[in-house]
Amino acid sequence: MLEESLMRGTLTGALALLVLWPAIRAGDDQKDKPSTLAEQYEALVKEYQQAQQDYMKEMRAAKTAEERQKIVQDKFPKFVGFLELAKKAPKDPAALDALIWIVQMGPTSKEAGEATDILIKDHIQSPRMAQVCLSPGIRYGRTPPSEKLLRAVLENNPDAGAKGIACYVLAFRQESQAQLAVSQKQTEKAAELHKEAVQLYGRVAKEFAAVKAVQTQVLSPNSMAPIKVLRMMVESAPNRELKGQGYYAIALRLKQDAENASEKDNAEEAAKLTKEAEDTFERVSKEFADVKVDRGNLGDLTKRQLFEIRHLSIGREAPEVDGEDIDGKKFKLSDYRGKVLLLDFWGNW
Amino acid sequence: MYPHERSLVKKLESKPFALLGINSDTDRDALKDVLKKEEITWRSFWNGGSTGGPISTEWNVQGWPTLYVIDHKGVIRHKHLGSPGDKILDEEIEKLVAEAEKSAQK
Repeated sequence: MLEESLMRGTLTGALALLVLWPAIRAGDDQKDKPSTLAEQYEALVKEYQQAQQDYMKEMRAAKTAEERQKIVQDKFPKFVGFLELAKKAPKDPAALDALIWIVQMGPTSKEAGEATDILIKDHIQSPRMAQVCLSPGIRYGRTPPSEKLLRAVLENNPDAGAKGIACYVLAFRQESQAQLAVSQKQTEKAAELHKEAVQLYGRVAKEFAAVKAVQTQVLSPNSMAPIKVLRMMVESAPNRELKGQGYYAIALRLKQDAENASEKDNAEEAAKLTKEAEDTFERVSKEFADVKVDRGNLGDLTKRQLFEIRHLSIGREAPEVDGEDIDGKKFKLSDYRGKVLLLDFWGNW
Repeated sequence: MYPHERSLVKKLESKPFALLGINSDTDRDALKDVLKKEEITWRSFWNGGSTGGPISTEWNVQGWPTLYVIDHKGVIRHKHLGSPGDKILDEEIEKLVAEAEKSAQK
């Protein structure tokens, strides 16, 4: 039929060919055309997401710790497919996707080490590295591969934003590790880590202070930066929104320091820091209330923070709770005056 | 679940101490079954059936669990986002219980 159309060479024939051509092509695809790397990556992602759902379902149904442990061993979604894909064509964009998937979703997986090495070798200059550095697995991670990756981005990525973010995340991690070392009485290790953190934060405040991507990270309500860095960077904030968020972050840090001083029974220091925190929150409330953030605006957030300082901080009398118990009987927190109370905000989920 | 809470309540049952929960579950009836099954003998406030309920909102709760340790005069003495560990919590509570007992003797 097709050949007759071709031979006749009529318009109808050519049109018929045109109409039939996609059907012919589709047929070929279904038979033996191999899928592209990008398609293979998408398939792996779908497979992973299904495996994740199954894993969570089984965990919820499990009744014993032994059962749960076995499920973790056997059913936890796997990364080996992603690594195999990346190794097929390490420089391919789909390989980059696969490698990023591993380090973001599986930072402690056994594939993370090799994935990191390939990233460092073939993709360290990618503009996507900034986002990778900010992902929770890297930001809050403690693994050697994730540290290696941050240092490599700081050293070799050409974009100031990616470098600055890597510097900032590494500083936060080293400071967290320093605090952990202190609690484990490893004083020398703690001092070393803290020294590096200070140096890295210094670089953030000096080298990267004017880089928009870094400012956006540092001057945010849940900033990880210490007060010194916040104070340095808030002055050169490029706009009102970042300035307001920066002052809010400073006030939060002061509030936290006040609580820490209270816990250590350092009442004078606690009072001083609390006053500073209150004053800074009030400034934000006066000058930056309308600045929009994740859950409302800075005005809403500061209102809640000021309430917390005035009624929920260590040393203050707890607010009354007037409610009912699970059986519907009315009772109050003050019914228990005279007893030490452990108040536990909990849920069975 | 909740073995530490149970042992704490038992250990301090004749002392001036109480464990009070503020519960954010959505299904009250299902919760009653859980309380029975897990032998949760301590009292809980009902937070209106969600983590966004009135009590947790008033107390600016940012994460679950959040723990407040309050002394016998009603003053907040410790605050924790997540458990600080059984040892630390027990030490904090026992110190305040001793304070309460000492003041009762005066």
